[in-house]
Formats: sequence, structure tokens, C-alpha cells
Amino acid sequence: MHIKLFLIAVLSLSISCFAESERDQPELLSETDQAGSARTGNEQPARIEAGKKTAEPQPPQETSLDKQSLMIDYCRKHTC
Amino acid sequence: MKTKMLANLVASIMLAGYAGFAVSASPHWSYDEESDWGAIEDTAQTAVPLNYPYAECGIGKHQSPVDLADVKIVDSKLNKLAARYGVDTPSFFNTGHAIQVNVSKNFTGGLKVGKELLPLVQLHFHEPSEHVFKGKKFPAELHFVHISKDGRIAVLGVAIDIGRENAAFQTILDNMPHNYGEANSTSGIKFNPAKLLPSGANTDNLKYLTLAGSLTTPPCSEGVQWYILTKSITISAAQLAQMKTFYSGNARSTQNLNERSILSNHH
Repeated sequence: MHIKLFLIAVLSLSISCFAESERDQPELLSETDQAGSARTGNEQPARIEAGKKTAEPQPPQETSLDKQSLMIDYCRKHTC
Repeated sequence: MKTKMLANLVASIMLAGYAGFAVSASPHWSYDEESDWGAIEDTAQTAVPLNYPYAECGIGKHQSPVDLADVKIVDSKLNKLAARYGVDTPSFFNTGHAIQVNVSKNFTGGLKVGKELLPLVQLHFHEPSEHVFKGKKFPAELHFVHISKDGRIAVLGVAIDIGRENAAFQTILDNMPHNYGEANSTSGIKFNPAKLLPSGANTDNLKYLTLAGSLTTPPCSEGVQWYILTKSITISAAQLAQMKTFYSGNARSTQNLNERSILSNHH
């Protein structure tokens, strides 16, 4: 009886661990993507294409506005 | 989970790196130690590279200003450049490094690059000029600083020569506080930045040179798009002398072009 209970407990634990690892998998991918987005967001504003008529992907609006206000604040206080 | 933490850490470092110059307190710098800007240490920071906030001044490859003499590629596909400035009630600010005019927060004027309007934030002066024009440094240079909705910086540079007195420049001199860090924001003086553009220039279709560069002051952040007008403006010798009572020699030396192209929208 004890052995039966022990085996059920081990089995439950294994299933629970497996389910957890399955849930983590897509999250890792999406988080890796987020890191990629942060990198893109970091590099993208660093260039206004030399006056060329090209359309660039725009970062999310809220982040852009934050970035703009940070820049404006800096440039009003310093000779930037 | 480790991947999640690592991703967050990387993202945090990158965001801190991007916004760092805008939010952190800046260590003191001067034009006398220009060659060492990149090595100035922020003692409040202990982690590398945050303890060297001006490192880009030393290791950047797209730095400003440059000698504009050598390379010029005419490109008819360049965006049309139009200055859309109007009357404002600005603040006259002595930054400690230059005389500067900060436009009011409800000012709607800016620089139109193609179809995009980049709002004007401030304008300031350097003595002598920072960029070199056909082998020549001008007595001074004016920078109109614009910041787009997504935080990109575009600077319109105008060379200043000695000649006829400039009434708009006199307004700036007359209202500029002499003490470092002081701003005159209550004078209520009306000022139109467009009056500082070359007389006779077509403000709807300005002739310019353009290149990718940087801020010319620490932290020398790159990603700045420069538009340098091919026409200069004038101020009188007396006005230059008066300007020098505020700042003299506040100009960074020219930097290597490093494979960058200087494009022009005219022949």
C-alpha cells in the first residue's frame, strides 16, 4: 500500500515538472524576442537615414514618447 | 527561468545604455581637456561601462564635427528640407558651455525633413565654428537642435561670418544671463528663430550637406543626423566680441570621417 502511494506521488511530481517545463518553453522564446526588440529599439533611433526617403519601423508609441521627453529634457538643460 | 533572467538583464543594460546620457547626472567637462573626454570618470558609478559616461567621445566612429571639404556626393533623392519656425517666447539660457535659446513648450515649429516635422527644442552657438567649410573655420556656428517623436536628434548647422549686424542675434545677446546655469525665462521677449536663417534662402527648400554624426559635446552620443546649410549668416564684429564675453573657444575639433559620406542636395 505504501509503495503504491509512493509511486503515485512520484508520478504526480513528474507530471507536474513536465507540465512546468512545457509552460516555460514558449515563454523563453517570447522573452528572447523581447530582448531582441529591446536591442532593435536601442539601435533604431540612433540613425536618421541620411535624408533618404525611406520608411523605418517605428518603436511602440509610449516608449517613443518617453524617449522624446527624456531627450528634450536633456537638451534643454545641456548644450547637446 | 535562467533565460528569462538573462534576457531581462540584457534588456535592462541596453535600455540603461540608451537612456543613460539623458537621465544620469553628468560629470564636469571642459574644452581644455577635449582629448580626454572619453576617459572622464563618473565616480558615482562603479560598474563598467557606466563609470565612463563619455566613452563614445573617445571610441565613437561617427563623431562630429568634421571637415566638410573632401567628400560631397550629390544625391537628388534626398529629402526636401524646410524650416518651419515661427514667433515664440523662449527662455535665454546660459548653459555653462554655450549661450542657448530654449523654445517654449508649446512652440510648434520645427524642421521638416521630407514629410516628417522634427520639433525644434533649442538653438545654441559655438565660437569659432565646429565644422570646417572648404578648409575654413568660420568665426562662429549656430546649431538648431530638433528631436523627433521617437527621440531621434537632427541638428541644422549654420556657419556664421562677420558682416552686417544681426538683429535677431542681438536680441539673444541682450537677454542672455551672464551667470552659468541661469535662465531668463520671464522677459516675455518675442523671438522668431527663422530670423537666424540665411537671408534670401528658400526656407521651403533649403540647400544643405548631410551626414550621420554625433553630439559635439559630451556624451558625444552618435545617431545625430546633421544638416549643414550651404549659406552662412552674418553678425557684426562687435556682436562677435560681445558673444565672446560669454564663451570663447567652445568648439570641438574636427573628427575623422571614417568612411562616412557627406551628401548634398544641390550641384
